[in-house]
Amino acid sequence: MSNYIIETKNLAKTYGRVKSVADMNIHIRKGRIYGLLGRNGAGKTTAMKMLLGLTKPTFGEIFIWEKPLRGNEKKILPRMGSLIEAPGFYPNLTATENLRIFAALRGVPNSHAIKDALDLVSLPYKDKKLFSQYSLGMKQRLAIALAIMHDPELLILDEPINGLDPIGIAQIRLFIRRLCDEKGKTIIISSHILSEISLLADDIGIIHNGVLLEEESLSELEQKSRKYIHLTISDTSQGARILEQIFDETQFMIQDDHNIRLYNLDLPVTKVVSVFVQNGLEVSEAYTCGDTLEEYFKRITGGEGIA
Amino acid sequence: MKNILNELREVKELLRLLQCEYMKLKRSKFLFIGILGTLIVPLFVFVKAAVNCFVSSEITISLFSLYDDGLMFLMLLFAPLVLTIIHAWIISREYTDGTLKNIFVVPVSKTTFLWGKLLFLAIITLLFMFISWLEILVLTFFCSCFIPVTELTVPSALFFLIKMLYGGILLCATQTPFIYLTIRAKGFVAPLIAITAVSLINVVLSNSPIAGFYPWSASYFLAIGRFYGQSCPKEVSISIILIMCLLGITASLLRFRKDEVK
Repeated sequence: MSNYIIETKNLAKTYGRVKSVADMNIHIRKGRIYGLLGRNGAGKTTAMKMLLGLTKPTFGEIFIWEKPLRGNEKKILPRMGSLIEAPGFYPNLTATENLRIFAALRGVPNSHAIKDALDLVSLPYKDKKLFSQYSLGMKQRLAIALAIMHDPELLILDEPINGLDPIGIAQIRLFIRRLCDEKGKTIIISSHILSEISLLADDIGIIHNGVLLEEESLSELEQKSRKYIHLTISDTSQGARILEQIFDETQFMIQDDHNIRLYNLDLPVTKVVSVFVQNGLEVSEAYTCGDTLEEYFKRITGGEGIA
Repeated sequence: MKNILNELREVKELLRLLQCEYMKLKRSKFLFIGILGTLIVPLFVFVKAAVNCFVSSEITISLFSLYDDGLMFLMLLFAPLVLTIIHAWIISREYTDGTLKNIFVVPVSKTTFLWGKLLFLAIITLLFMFISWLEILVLTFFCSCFIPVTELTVPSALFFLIKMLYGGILLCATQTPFIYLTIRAKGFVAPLIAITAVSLINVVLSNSPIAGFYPWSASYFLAIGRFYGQSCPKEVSISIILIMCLLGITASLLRFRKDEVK
């Protein structure tokens, strides 16, 4: 029996020749918040759309509650709530009227569900304000209300804090945390904002160019990103050549002409230093220290883009 | 037994969709303008008859001729144009408002959703024809208080109600290609351009003996029940409309099912 609520096997989506998602093997545990972190255009939304059956995978399989999503949509999807990209509602209707439509479609029996959902996101029930008059933050709140209205076990939230002010962000963060801790909901949340994911998620998947680069718990990632060996040497390009040719090592980063970082902590530092010296390099510093989580993400995704 | 239950579930879902379509129209200016638009043809035929009456005292206003003219203007020009705009708006707004992603995760199957839309559009078309019929009747009744109107009887009115509703059904059938165009273009500009061209050809062909081969003109001739002077037999016209309707529905369903939510 699998421990995962969601499991994908070699999930891929191709648009023409462009690979939006490639060989994605995602594992989401029950009662946890899973943060899907990636730069803009990394493939987060496509992956989430596939998990909701909105987009058909080009290849691979999705298992939700151990059942393949394909062919079981009628059983699986009613147990899920979602917010994908920009909130989509009818502009000529109020928030309550909009939710009534989706409640009718879902067969949500009572109006308490609508009122409760609106209360949870601090939106007024039976307000006369039309959706078209809503601010971006209010629209986002309404979309979250729609996602939780039918009390789903699993929530898929694509960039839920988009457009919210700092207080709104804190409220939604707290609200998502509570849903997970108090009601035992499993939540997948995507973002390109590292600080947001690191404040909220229990597990993190880092996606870049459609590829899931890492999938670990936040604590594991913090541990992993923390340590590296820092070397200050007379010529980093020569040092890099030695690392590649003698130690067959590629897990390093040249900081400048004199500073280099080794990320493979299993590498024998004393041996590395002595080989450097034997090859005419001056080694003035060698010590183990840490990366910030942000630096770590930038490094593995290859640059800027995650704030 | 399982099949019956499934079918019942589908019918229930379809009814829910129809209820939701109705709910979506609240405060909708587009539909309000459309309903106002239904007034144009009745007013036009009424003014035309009144002018004729004033020009020549030998001409009298008859309910029959008012409905006859009304049906012609509606079926050949006005109704296809207005209904295409309303239909295209009802479908394309789901794309522009980005609501499809909320509907399909319910889940609602794409096929059921589109059938729900088609049924709703059919109801709107019939409602459009019914309102037009009612407006002509009310205007004629009002007019009869001042000038004599012939054939203002309940059987005459009911006779034309049936004709107009039949015309509405034929209009629904001939609307399916524009529904496909709306789904394909995800907006109402393409179907609007297409229906304008179709309506212009309608006007050109309205007195032609080959009009029966042209589905949109044929609908009018079938509704009015006059096929004299037509080189196209009635059965052929019905077959052409039916084939076009089925092709339109099939193409719309295939395209809608193929499209992914953006």
